[in-house]
Amino acid sequence: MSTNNEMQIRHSATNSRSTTSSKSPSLSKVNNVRNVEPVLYSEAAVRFNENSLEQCRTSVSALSGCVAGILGLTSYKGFIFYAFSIFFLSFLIYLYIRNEHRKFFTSLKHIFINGFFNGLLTYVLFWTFLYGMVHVY
Amino acid sequence: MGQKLLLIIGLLALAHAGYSAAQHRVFVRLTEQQFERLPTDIIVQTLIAFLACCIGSVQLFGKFKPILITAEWQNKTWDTIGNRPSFMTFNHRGRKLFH
Repeated sequence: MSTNNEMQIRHSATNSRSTTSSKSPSLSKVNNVRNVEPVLYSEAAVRFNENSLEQCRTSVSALSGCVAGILGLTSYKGFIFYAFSIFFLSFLIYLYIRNEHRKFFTSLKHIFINGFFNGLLTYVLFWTFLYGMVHVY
Repeated sequence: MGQKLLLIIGLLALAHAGYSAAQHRVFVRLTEQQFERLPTDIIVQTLIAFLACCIGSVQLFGKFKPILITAEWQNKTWDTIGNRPSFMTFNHRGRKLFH
């Protein structure tokens, strides 16, 4: 039962060709039967990967907040630095699993776009804290 | 262990850079100069420490599992995968026969 619950069926990209109207009805019917090949993903592994990606993002946003506070960045520069550091982290992860990212994630969107602003509040917390510690007091 | 070492070194370097920046700030205030910008070596040390921390944390947390279920099932026997607890029967004739 547990293995069945962990199982999740998703359909791979269907290679259906666009049926043009000029074709005969029988041919278009043949083309409408899509060649769907189900791909089974282990949901536990997908969740584990998302979790470790989230851990990476959180720790790096805290660290980049420290760096921004030490460097004394203010206003928009700090947010630009946040965007830069998260992109840098995504790029590092991509470099790390470059050849086998299909093995770990369903799409590259998970690495680069999803959860981009999740670490922003952590970043602002550490940024203001370190800025206050270093530059104000 | 190697990646943890990198992360620890990065954190220590970051702490040291922060302490140096605070010291520089205090020095500037005591000598009554105008604060313009941090010394270059502190900035460089901070950035290098950040780079080391990034690489260390990616190596530490970036251990992903293969998501295809065939990879997960490769080391399991059919008895484990095909286990259907819902279909188990406990009320059968064995209780009448063997008790």
